Amino acid sequence: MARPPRRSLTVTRQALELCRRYPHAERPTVRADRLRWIVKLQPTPFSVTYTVRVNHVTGHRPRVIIVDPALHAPEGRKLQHVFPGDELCLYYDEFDARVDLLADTIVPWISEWLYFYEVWLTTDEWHGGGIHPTTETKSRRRR
Amino acid sequence: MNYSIADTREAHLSQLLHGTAQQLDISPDMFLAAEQRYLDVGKHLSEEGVDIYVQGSFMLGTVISPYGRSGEYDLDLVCHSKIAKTSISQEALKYRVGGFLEQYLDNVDPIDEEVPELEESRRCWSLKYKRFHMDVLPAIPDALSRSATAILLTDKQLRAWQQSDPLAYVAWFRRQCAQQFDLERRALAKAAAGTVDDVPEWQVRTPLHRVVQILKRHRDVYFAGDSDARTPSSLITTLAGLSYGGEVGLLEATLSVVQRMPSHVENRDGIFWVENPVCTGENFADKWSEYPDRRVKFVQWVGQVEKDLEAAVRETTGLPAVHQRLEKAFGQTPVRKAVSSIGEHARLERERGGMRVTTAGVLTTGAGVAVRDHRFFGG
Repeated sequence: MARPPRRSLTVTRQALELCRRYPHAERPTVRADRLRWIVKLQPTPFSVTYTVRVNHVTGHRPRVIIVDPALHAPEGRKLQHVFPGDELCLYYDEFDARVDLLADTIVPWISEWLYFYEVWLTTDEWHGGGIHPTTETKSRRRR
Repeated sequence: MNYSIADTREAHLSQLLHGTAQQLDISPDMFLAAEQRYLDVGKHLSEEGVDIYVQGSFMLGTVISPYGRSGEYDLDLVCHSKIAKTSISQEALKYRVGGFLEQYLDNVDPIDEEVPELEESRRCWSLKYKRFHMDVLPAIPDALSRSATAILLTDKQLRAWQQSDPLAYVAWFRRQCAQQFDLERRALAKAAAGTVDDVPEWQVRTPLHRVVQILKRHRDVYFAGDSDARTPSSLITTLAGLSYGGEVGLLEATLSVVQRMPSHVENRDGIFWVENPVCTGENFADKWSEYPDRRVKFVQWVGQVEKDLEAAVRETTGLPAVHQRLEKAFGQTPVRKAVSSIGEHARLERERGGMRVTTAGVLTTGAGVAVRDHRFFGG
């Protein structure tokens, strides 16, 4: 079913929802249509606490970088599901910046990505599912 | 197993231990291959008027895959002849059964083109197959025992018949975890949409079964370079059965068992003693009198299990470091497979809509923001 046409979510609204859902995290900074947020996430009780930076501009793809500890790939292996610059690739077409809250989508997906990354470090297998880009997916992917 | 996403250290470690024990379990293929060969031998022996039945870890449900290249599965069988003790000598019984097995091998239709070799050892005959061996223990009824299943065994090094009661032992072991046994058996029946009676008892794995599997594997790794000193499985199984207090989580169950185990070793006037709980007078620790260092090494080993698990619970450098600790203690293969399997189940949970995340970002199936299903993208 097509979504009814509406005004895109503003970064202010996104920031409010991040504060509400993740009250222990720092407050996001919002300048004009740009949101910057630093959050600490620990995907499992054994995991280290990762410092994550989320940058978001209204209507665009949120950019997610793990600041600390640095991601690493064991020798001879390549990180899975990242864009160049080790930016996390969290979704194919399941996020729509006009209507979806970062707090409900991107943030849980970051934790999940980190968990599957830790499993991958041990097993060399990515168990999180997903798709790798092909010519077809590149041309079909809009957002 | 409960595959909800573990959101405490204890639950996470219990899940990893459980997954590891599952990987150590005998594969259905291997089980069928062993069963097929056992039934074939059994058919031949029944024509000679003797009964054959399974005892030991296959029957208990505590069998684990062998560690190292030379390791083999070991299927223990009792070959029961209804002959009075006064009518036969130990030697005559041993060679009677040996003769039946020779005849079997002369006439056997090879299964999977495999004909085993027959070897004699102290108490039994061994049929050596490619991936396992079948130990056949010649036995007669123990008419003097109050137990209907009590038997007498031959031993080349001892003049007196050896008393044993493997079926009563299995029943004892199941009594040590009776409540959990009942629950697990019902759960298996429910999963297979059948009745409880459809689930063979040897298929049931309670936390006690898993603890025994975990301990046996830790023992195999710990004593890899000193195999003569290995604590025997019968001793581990008995001490674990005596020590188990009904714990459900595997971390708690294993830790409680290893902490209590040494207290069940008696000192009877200088002789260390772990009595067979169903056979008064049989000391599972009899070798410790002959080789006192083995008892010392047992105590050290039990302490090491506790240290390894405690160190894993307290690990602060991340989840992969916990995996590495377990790999060191239990071997890389079963631990990696367990980690994969748990990861796979986490993804399935997300696809089902059951994965959530707490405000600190911890994945859970408890309270939190639902993780909407999605596909990771990119290279």
